[in-house]
Amino acid sequence: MIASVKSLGRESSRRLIGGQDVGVPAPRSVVPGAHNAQYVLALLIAVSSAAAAPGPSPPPSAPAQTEADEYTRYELLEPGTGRFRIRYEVTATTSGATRFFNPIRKGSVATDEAVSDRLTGRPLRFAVVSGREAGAGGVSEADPSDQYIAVQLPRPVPPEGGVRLLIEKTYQDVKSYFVEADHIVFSRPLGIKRNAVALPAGYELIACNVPAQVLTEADGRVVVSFINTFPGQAAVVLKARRLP
Amino acid sequence: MRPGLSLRMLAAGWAVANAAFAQEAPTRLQERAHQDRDIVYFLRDPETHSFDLYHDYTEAREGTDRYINVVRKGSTVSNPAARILDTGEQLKAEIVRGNAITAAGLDIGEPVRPDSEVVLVRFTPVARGASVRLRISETYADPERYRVEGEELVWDRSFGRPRNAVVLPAGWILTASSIPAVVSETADGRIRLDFVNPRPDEIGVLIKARRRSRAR
Repeated sequence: MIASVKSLGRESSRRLIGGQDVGVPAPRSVVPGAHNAQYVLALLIAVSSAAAAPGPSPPPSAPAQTEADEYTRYELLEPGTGRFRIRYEVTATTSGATRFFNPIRKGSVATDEAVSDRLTGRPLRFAVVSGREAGAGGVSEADPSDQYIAVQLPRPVPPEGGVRLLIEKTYQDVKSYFVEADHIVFSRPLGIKRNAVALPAGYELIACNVPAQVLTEADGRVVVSFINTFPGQAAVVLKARRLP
Repeated sequence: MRPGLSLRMLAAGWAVANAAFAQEAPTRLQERAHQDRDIVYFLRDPETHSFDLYHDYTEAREGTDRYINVVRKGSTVSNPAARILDTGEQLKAEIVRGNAITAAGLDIGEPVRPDSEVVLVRFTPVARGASVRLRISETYADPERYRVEGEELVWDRSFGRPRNAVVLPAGWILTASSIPAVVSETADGRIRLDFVNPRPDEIGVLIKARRRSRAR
């Protein structure tokens, strides 16, 4: 389990957390098999909580949240839609923690979210909560006006261990993924250190501004994968063109 | 495979024993960023030539129920321990040698010699769609690659994994590192070097250090 970059300081940790890709969720169930009304209720509670509590977060009442071994895979969906599927792997490492908070990026829309326990493969419950609640739950520097996905962990994080999570979602961001002339562009600052971007089927890679592996998967899609070895975000720009 | 560790690591289930070798010898066209094996070395006093380490990896192959380290000839291993990081469950880790390897039916991927030595860790077979994150801890001695030259500590080993870390013994000052590393200080004052190699090759890590008291 490696979390050394984050140990360098709160600022770097904050950057990494802020770099995660989680959009504002569209109305949907947050519990596998549950009704959307539960989600709406949770969202209303979250929004009202945030609105009623402007100002700085209260001091955390829980140990500071820590995580490790993050990896994100982006799968670019139909060009022109701005949509891409995200598969985010993360390990919650705060000993004894029973919840894990994942920030939601403002102004974006995410759908089809799912969270699962990688130990068992089983789905997990999650809810949308305020930044204030996340702050009280151990997220340092949480902005009360932000929103977070709060994942109910299937077991307390064991001492010096972790609970490995898989967070999946479909994200829409036309500023990050768009069509330009005869090619598509994926342009996004990525805070997570290990990343992969899968091109749509039938596209060739014509540009990538960070050193990356280029691989072809069994289904023929080209994947661009890299590890960012520096403390800051990687401002990744990929370009790809449809094969004739 | 990571020759610099002076051991050979295999994960094998009865049903998928042969597949273990494929995982341990990743091709250059496997995705480097998604490889999940990490290792941290904690150097003891260099006169002992020994160091503690733990390595973590995720086993996701259905049916796999064991992890085997094959110790390279000339190296010695002691204090094996293992646990599941997901749950904290302690696992039994044992050293198996020579004919006992054959008697146990262990496939170590090479002919078993009288001086063959492996560390064996067993765990509940991985279920379909599940995975398990393991931490294996051991102590190694390697007089050739971890030694003292004059007044300097010398660590000279290859790393094959994407992420490795080396923690110097207490009281030692870092004076050289041949490969770029992120340097930090542990809570107890030791110097730690973190190496991240995004390329699918090995890095030859040469570290030198001096005793703190002698530098003042």
